Amino acid sequence: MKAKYIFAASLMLLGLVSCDKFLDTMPDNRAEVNSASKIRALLTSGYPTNTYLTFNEYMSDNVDNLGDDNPGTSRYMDQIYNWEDVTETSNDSPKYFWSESYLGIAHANQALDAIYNLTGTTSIAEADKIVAAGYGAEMAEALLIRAYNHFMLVNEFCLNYNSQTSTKDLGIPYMEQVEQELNPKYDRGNVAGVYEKIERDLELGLQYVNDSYYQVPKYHFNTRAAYAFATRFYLYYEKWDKAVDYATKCLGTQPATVLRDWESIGKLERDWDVRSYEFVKSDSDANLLMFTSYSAFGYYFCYPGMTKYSHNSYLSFNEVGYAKNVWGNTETGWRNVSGWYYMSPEWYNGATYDLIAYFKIPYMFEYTDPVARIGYAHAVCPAFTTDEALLSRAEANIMLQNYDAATADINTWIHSVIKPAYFTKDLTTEDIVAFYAPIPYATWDNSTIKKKLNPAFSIGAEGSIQESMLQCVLGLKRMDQMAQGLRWFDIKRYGIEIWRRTMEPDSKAAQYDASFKPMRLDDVLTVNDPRRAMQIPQDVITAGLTPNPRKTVKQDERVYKPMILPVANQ
Amino acid sequence: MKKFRFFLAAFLMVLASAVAQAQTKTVKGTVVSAVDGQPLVGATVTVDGNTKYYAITDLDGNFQINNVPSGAKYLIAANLGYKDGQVPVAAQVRIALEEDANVLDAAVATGMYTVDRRLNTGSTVKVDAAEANISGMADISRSLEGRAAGVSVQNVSGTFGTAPKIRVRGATSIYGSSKPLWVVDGVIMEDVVDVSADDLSSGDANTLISSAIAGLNSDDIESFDILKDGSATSIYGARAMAGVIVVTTKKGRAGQNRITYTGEYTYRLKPSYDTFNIMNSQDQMEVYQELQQKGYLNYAETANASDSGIYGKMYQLITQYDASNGTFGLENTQAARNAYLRAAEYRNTDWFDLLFNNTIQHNHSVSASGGSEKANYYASLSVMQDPGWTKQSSVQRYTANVNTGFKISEMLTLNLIGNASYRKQRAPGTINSETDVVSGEVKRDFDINPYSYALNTSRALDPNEYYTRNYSAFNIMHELENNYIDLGVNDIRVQGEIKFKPFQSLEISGIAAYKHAGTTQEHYILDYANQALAYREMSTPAIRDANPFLYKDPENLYGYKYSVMPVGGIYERSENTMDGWDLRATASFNKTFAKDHTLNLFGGAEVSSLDRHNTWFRGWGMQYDFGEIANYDYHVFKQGSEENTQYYKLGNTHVRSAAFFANGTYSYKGKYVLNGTVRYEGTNFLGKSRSARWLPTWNISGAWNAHEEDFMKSLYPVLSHLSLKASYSLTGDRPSVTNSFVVIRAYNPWRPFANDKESALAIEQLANLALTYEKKQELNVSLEAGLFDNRVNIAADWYTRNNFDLIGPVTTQGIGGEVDKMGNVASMYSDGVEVSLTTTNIKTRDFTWSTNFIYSHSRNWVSKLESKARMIDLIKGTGFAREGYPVRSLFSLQFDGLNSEGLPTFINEDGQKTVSGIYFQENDPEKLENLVYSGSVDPTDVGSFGNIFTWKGFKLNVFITYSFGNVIRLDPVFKASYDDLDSMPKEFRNRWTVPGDEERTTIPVIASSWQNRVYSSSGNYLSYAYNAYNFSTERVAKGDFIRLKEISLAYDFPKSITQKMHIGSLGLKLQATNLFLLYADKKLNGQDPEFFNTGGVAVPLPKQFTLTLKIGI
Repeated sequence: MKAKYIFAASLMLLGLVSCDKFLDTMPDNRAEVNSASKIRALLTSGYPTNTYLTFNEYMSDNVDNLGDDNPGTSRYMDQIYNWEDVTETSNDSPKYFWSESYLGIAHANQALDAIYNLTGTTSIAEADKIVAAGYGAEMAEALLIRAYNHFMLVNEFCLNYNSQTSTKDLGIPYMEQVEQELNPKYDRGNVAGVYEKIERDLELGLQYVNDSYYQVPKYHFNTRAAYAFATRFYLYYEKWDKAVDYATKCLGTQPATVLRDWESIGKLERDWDVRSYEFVKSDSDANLLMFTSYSAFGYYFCYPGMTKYSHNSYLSFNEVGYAKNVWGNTETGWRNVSGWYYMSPEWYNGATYDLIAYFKIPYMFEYTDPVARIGYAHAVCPAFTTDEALLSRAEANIMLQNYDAATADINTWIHSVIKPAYFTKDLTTEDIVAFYAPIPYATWDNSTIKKKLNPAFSIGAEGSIQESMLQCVLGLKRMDQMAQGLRWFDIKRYGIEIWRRTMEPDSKAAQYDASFKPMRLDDVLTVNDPRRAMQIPQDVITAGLTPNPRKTVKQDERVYKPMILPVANQ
Repeated sequence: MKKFRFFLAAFLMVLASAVAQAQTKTVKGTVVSAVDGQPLVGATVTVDGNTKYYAITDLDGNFQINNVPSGAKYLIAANLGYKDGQVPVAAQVRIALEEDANVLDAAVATGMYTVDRRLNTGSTVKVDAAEANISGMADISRSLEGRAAGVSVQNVSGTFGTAPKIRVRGATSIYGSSKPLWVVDGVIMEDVVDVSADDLSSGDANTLISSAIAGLNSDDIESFDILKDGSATSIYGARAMAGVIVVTTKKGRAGQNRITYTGEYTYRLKPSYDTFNIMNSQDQMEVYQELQQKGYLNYAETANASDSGIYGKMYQLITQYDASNGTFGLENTQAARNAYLRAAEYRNTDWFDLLFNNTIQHNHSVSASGGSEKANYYASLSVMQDPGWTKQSSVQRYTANVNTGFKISEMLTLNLIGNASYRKQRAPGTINSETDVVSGEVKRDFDINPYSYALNTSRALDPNEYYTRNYSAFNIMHELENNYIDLGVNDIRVQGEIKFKPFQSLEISGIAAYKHAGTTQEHYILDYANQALAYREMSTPAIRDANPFLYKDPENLYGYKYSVMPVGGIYERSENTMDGWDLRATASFNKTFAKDHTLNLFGGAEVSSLDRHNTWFRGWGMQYDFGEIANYDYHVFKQGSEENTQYYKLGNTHVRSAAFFANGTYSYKGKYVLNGTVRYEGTNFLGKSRSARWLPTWNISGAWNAHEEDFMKSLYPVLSHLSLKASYSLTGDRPSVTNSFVVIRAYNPWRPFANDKESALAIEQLANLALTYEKKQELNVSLEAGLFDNRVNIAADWYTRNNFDLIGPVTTQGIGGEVDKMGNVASMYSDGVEVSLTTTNIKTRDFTWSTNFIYSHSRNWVSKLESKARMIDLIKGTGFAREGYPVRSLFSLQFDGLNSEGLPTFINEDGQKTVSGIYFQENDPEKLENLVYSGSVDPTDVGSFGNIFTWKGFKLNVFITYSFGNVIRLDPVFKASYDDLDSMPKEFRNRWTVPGDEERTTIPVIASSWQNRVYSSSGNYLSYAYNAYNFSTERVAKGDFIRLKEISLAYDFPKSITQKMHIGSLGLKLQATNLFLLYADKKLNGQDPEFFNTGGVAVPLPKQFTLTLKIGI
């Protein structure tokens, strides 16, 4: 009898043990990352699908307020335009950029975790062993993704890197492992610390990055994209020589051949869809890495969809694309200058809107259910372009005082955008200085293409070769990167003061003149303004992460200067 | 008297062996159950009801009475749960007792084992299927409405196959489904698709297969046992947090060979416009005229509009030139136009009459049962034929059921059950509904639900005419014939149970079951259905440019839009199958020690496996009309690839679980009972993480059968029965998230061009190592009392519950990749009272009148929850959780009167008065404070009041159900602009028309096209204002109702007649169901408070009359 019970009891115990195996069946079609091909597939999701485009453009000096009564806005747009802490959530808001960037990092860490498991390693310190096991390229892509996402996060949510204060400026948590707790708390560290880790990951990634495994290389960190990333990184890290080296690796010996082919785009129909689809084609040599995102940015910025804050004609005719520029146009405005460009920006002009539109970013749809017409709006944008690498190299060379090399790159770039008939003679360094030195700095009610530079690193005085060359290259970068969201970083890095101003219709304007003019100054982003570090998302603050410091500004203390009109005009 | 005998029985059992007195005769015998011939333990046997001579049966059912006086006539045996049995006195007798379903007396079936009610410490209700059965209602789950205290059944849709929303003691979870577990003959039933409680009311096609038990024939059901508290359910562990409904099917009985035929013939009334407040065509045309004055329905817009009715048709006729006779469809003169419109004014189309059928639904069921001591069987077949209450809603269901028992030897018994059903159903074609979170509109494209069509479509339309929808021709009758869903559902269950009794007190049993369910849904959109024509409608350049169903090739941006489906229709097929098996081994040990101490031990282990499989496919260009050949355009695939649309899908899910459990009951003299259960359960549901998968659940409970106490005897028969019970338990439920291990899934990332596409893996949810089951602690106290010799029976329960570790949202720093996560962070409390009162008011030889009153009150409130709800979730009508409020709370925008333009104004999330400045996606908890709490959408007080009168063979049943304490959102009938298809409720008559009206009415103006333009040019879309009005305090009604659920008259023909007809029995019953509401909020205006009019496949329960014929041979 006893034996029976013992038998039954041991059977039960056996059952308990074998149960765990029985219960190991996956509940659904979730995947286990247990092969190189699955690691690669996982890394495909390391690239964020929420974009910085909207808030970077609308925080920058590329837009003005077209009037208090203009209906084309939303609470979210009001907040970002006014550099306020964003409380609204939309696909284009910082909250999703934050979580998507960290989600990209999570994918990189998850992939690294899988690599460690498959190769019997525990960290990237054992990179040699990982490479020997044949996972070098996967590790490299994971590290590049991790470095890139942290790089963008630190530049958005922190003050820009500088060799003086960055060891004290609040950073962002650098995430190097997979999160498995429900609600862990993190420390922000400092900007310099984040940059050090980015450099470590980036260098290791650059060493082993390999194009051969990518199915769709332009949607992954291919070698040239990695070099372009290194160029931007070292430029922001004030390591000018490394920036030049990596830009050269990215561009090759004949940069002119890999720049964007504006000539052929310019021949296409003047249609937003047609030209923007062409701009984001992955087979373009200029596009090094493409990102798709859940975003209506194309509709906001490249089309008069959100009309209140606009890249308006006054701005364009005096500061950017249709202003007097170094290549020698003496007239300004759409009518006089649009013919100079291979692809000129379009001008939408009406009672409540005034937009100089760059047909770069499309507005596309994904239908999850074509019968019910349900889906998502998307934007597509190149994350890195050869044009950026070229102008970055020029900028770095100016800092290294290799002015002629910089001038050569500037000439190459101008040739890519201006038709040969209008740009007949290459510029010399002296030409550039001679053009920029006499131009006054822009003020809120008198825009020019030159703004005062106050970087943390030292540059030459106003009118010096270095300062003038920087003015030139920053102006070209602003034009080149219009609608691509990068101007904001230059504003931060160079301590450029920008303002929020309200425009009013210019009743005196002739048919092809700028149709709005500055009416009121609302706010100024000063050199040391803490708002240069975008506030981390509200939810994240609630969850206990240290917020960025903010100066409390009362409404009436704001800089406010009513426009004083000449008597004759009244 | 019966109760008294039980009391005595227990009492005497304690005293054990009878004191022998010298008399003349000794009687020996056995008491057995008539159902299966099993011996009955502890039954009392008396001589002629004289308690002087009695015995109690032993474990083999044997008894012996000595000294029986020689004049004694009968031996009467009584046992709990059985009807008394009597046999003439003889030296050796065998008394077989029939089961008695009387609620207070029966044994409790937990699905795993059966418990003597005297030893039951849990809160349970037994419902006799024959009494609960609503004739003509093929789905048995609906018949539970109002039958048991603590159980609420909401018929959110009356369509066959759609599960009602059943709650046992209310919600137990915030994000989980709170659905009770169905156990049929000891085997857990699983849904073939998991439809959440909210989606049950969605009207989507999946709801048609949401009922796990739609394949059971109501005639085969013996009884329901509803296990309510943790003491009763904890043996099911981590599935039973929301209660268990145990269904026992019929078995054959020894010695009773019977064939029974039951036929039900049901006639359903068509709904009538009299009960709804829909405008007649004259009033409706008047509104259209106002629309025209306000800038709508003009030629340019209406002739090319995507949807148009009377006016659109008129304009189309005016431009329609017939070259053969040189005339236009309609002369373009004022007189001709007026005549055309006047005809519409007089039309008064009765859509209900056209779209509903006068058909008879009939259900035939034949069963044969019988057996001997060695074997018994029950077998049945049934056919249900429903030609459909509405057009395109027919159902045919066939069921077969076999249940056999064998007594192989004294030690070994075997029970085999097989059950199969097949259902063929047709439903109007539908696609899933969606909520536009920006404007707050809930919409369903291509909706052709006959009920909602009749309610929402203008009565001025000519039913034989084609009007315009999606730019192409539309006629509801034609569309219903050309756009429908065919559904096939088959269900098979086979199970076997073997019981081994090596010695008297030990029983070992093993049960094995296999379940299969397969469903196919085929959505046919025929060649000329509006839904197909919309894909190729480009009759004018304006329509071609506007029609969203046409395709524009991104690689040929200069080209025009064109059709991806130039011919044919759409064929959509989805298939869901489920395969599962269960194995369970249990041992039970029952023994009474030293007369006073009864010990029951039960323990065992079970494993189960369930695999669900689904496929979905959509084919384009099926030429139904041309030999059913597919002629697809390759652009379909190009477009799909560009827009990242799935062409076909495949999905598999697997559930594995294993559990060990034990239950022990100790009773002292039958007066005091102590009971405890533990269960240790694991599932694969949480992924491969071994840390979280095991959950122990337990309970401890006790009962005091006070009537067994000596000092209570003096109160007899005024107080004939009294017992008190208490239990405390911990049970759990599988969480609605499964990320104890990182969840990574494959997907196709969206890419702008087809050549950039690749497949990828993505993290769907980060790991949460601390993830665990949702849990519930429950304290339950219940009281059962019988008064006046059990003429009055009262059962009352009080419970309080603490639900913790519930899944709720957590905001994290997002460094791991997710800012918003779900974890075990929420909790809620609930409590409630349940009372059921059964009285036999009058009882004479021929006439009895008995009354049954059931009342339950339950409430819950969320005690901890981080609110992430958007405004739209809180106001749209399904209810949503917020801390400090019930788990399904409805909030409303504060309506603040009409402004001087007749537009509605509200207090928005910022506390400001506004017309359209409402931000429906707001989720800041502080700003949501400006919403008004309207109430819970789940009723708090439900129950029923039933009266049964019997006189000779007649039985009259009047059954009333009621439900109180909830609120409902009225149908969203207000819009910023209307077209000439819309029908309007009569309250529109009272609308704002001239300034000053805002003082007397709250019905907003019909906004003019000018108003719409002015407001939208400043970004204030009036659609926000009118949707806000639909979701405002003005558009809430109380959900309270009292319903005359059933009134029936049955007649059982007396033996004298049936014998002449050479049949065993004959019964007739006429029943009216859902006749009317005795009480409902006036604001509802004919809207059924239980029903969610969401279109799709949802229709309310009809008013119906059923004739039932029952013949036994």
